[in-house]
Amino acid sequence: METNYKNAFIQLINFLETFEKEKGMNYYLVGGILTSIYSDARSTTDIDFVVDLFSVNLTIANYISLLQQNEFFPFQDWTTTIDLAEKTKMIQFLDKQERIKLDNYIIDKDNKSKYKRIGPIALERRVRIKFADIECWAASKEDFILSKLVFGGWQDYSDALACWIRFNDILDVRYLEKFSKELGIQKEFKLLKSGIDDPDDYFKQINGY
Amino acid sequence: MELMNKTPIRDRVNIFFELCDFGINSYIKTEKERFPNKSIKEIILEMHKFHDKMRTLGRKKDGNKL
Repeated sequence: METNYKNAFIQLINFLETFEKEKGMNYYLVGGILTSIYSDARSTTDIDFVVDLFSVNLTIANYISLLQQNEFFPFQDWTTTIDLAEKTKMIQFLDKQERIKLDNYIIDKDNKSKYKRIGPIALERRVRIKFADIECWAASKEDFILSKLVFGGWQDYSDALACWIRFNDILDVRYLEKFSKELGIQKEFKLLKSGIDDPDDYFKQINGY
Repeated sequence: MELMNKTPIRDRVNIFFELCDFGINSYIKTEKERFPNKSIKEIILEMHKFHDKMRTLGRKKDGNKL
C-alpha cells in the first residue's frame, strides 16, 4: 500500500525544521495527527500545524512563495490561497503527492478570540516529540485538550476525553484549570473532568437542552 | 485504552499511518468506482471537503477554522 500520509508528514517536517533552524520560525503540530500518541488513534486525511510567522517578520505572501519553492501545491491557485490566508490567517495546501491536505494555522496575537488565543498559549509549552523516528515539535497534552475544548465539536470532545482518560495520572490539572478559565471554557473542562463519556450528554449540558 | 498504553509509541504511530493511508486509499477507490469519470484530483479535493465537514460537526460558528 502507498504510504501517502507518512510521505506528506516527512516532507512537511523537513520543511518546518529547516525553516526553524534557518529563520527561527517556531512551529508545532496539533489536531488529529497527535491522536495516536495523546488520545485514541483515529484516521484523518490532513495534518494540522501552527506557525509563528509574524515573529520573524515574514509576510504571508513571502511564506507562501517558500511553500511553492518547496514543492507544496495549492488547492486552487496560489493567488487565491494568499487572499484567503490574509483574511483567515490560515493556509490550506497540499503535499507534493497532491494527496494530503496541510492545514497551516498562523499565530495572530492581535486577535482576542479564544480560537486564536490558544495559538500562542500552546506555543509557549510546545514539546519535542519523536514521531515515526523523526523529531518534531508538538502541542503538549494539556494544550491538545484545551484546543479541542476551544473548538468544541463532536470529534474534538471525543479526542479530548480520550486524552483525559488515557493520561489522567500525569496531566497538569492546575494548568488546565488556569487556562480553561482564561479561554472561557471552564464549563467544558468541568464536564470533561466529571468524566461524561457520552458526547450526547456533554453537548446537552453545554448547550443547555 | 490499557492495550493502547502498552503498545510502544513507534508501533502506535505506524498503526496510525496505516489507518490514514487505508482510509484515504479506500475512499478514493470507492468514489472512483461510483464515479468513473471523476479525476483522482477531484475525488481528493471532495474528500478533504467532506472530512472538514465531518470534523467540524457540533463546532460553534467561528470555530470551523482555527
